[in-house]
Amino acid sequence: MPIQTMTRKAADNVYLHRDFHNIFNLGLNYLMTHYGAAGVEEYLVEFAHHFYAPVAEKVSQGGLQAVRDAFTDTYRAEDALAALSFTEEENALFVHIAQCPAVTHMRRSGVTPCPCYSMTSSVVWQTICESTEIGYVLLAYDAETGKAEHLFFQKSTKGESLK
Amino acid sequence: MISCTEFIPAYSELFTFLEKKDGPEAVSEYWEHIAANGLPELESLVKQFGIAGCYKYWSHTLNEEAADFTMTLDEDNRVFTIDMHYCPSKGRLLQFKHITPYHNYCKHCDILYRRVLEPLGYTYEYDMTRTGQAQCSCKITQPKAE
Repeated sequence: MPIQTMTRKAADNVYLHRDFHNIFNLGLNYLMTHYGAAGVEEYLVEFAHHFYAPVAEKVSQGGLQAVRDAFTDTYRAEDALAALSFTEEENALFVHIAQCPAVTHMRRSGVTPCPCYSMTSSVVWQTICESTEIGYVLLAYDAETGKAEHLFFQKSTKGESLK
Repeated sequence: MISCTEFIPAYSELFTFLEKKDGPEAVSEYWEHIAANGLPELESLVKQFGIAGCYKYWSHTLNEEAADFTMTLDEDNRVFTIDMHYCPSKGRLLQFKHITPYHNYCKHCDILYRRVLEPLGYTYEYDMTRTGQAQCSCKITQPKAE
């Protein structure tokens, strides 16, 4: 049989390996089993503090527009901009997720999302926003599809009337 | 959601988190867990197609990961090799200046694939000597038929 060879440069392909969602979910389940939901939260807080420090800095500087940009970047990277929309009110930004591309891929792969999966949004964004002037609340989350409603608001306005 | 394009730093940070919690053994135990639960496609393809299953498996994953590599399948000699010219995962970790990669990050590639392939009788040789430059290689050999 002839020898088969395949050579690729990084630029030959788009970096989008959706199966990473499944492996990441495996990690969340592992943390749940060994350390409980508190362990999942602790890990996500540490990860967000480290990896999303530049995003937190942008939110500090750019406020709600920086939040909007971060979501847009993430959903563009996932080739899922159609699932993302925004509504703005005075000093507040509502982020609407029609369906989560990660949950969609997991379901398609026969993988059940970890019961704590919504923390990958709620805990991460709480951590990003904690040292900024922007407040954050996860208003709604559907574990079946990842459909979600996020609220970001200027802390000075409390945002209570918007929830 | 954490994007799959940000999985690699999340993975590295998970190793760091586990080691801080319960030592390096906790990281090894986690890798064993992934090997047992996270790579069913590789096991299935190798069982179905033999050494050619490796080529099919990594054709999918390395292209989606936008890796810089050369893969070679020599079915007559039952050998499959990957020469990773630039690993997209380790390369990304080296590029980030604001996080510290897990100190033994590349070791997971040794454990995971070895645990899947060796029970099937295959030999798995992994050269980690150039991972500091985001380069590595592996050679997988199928056992001769009885």
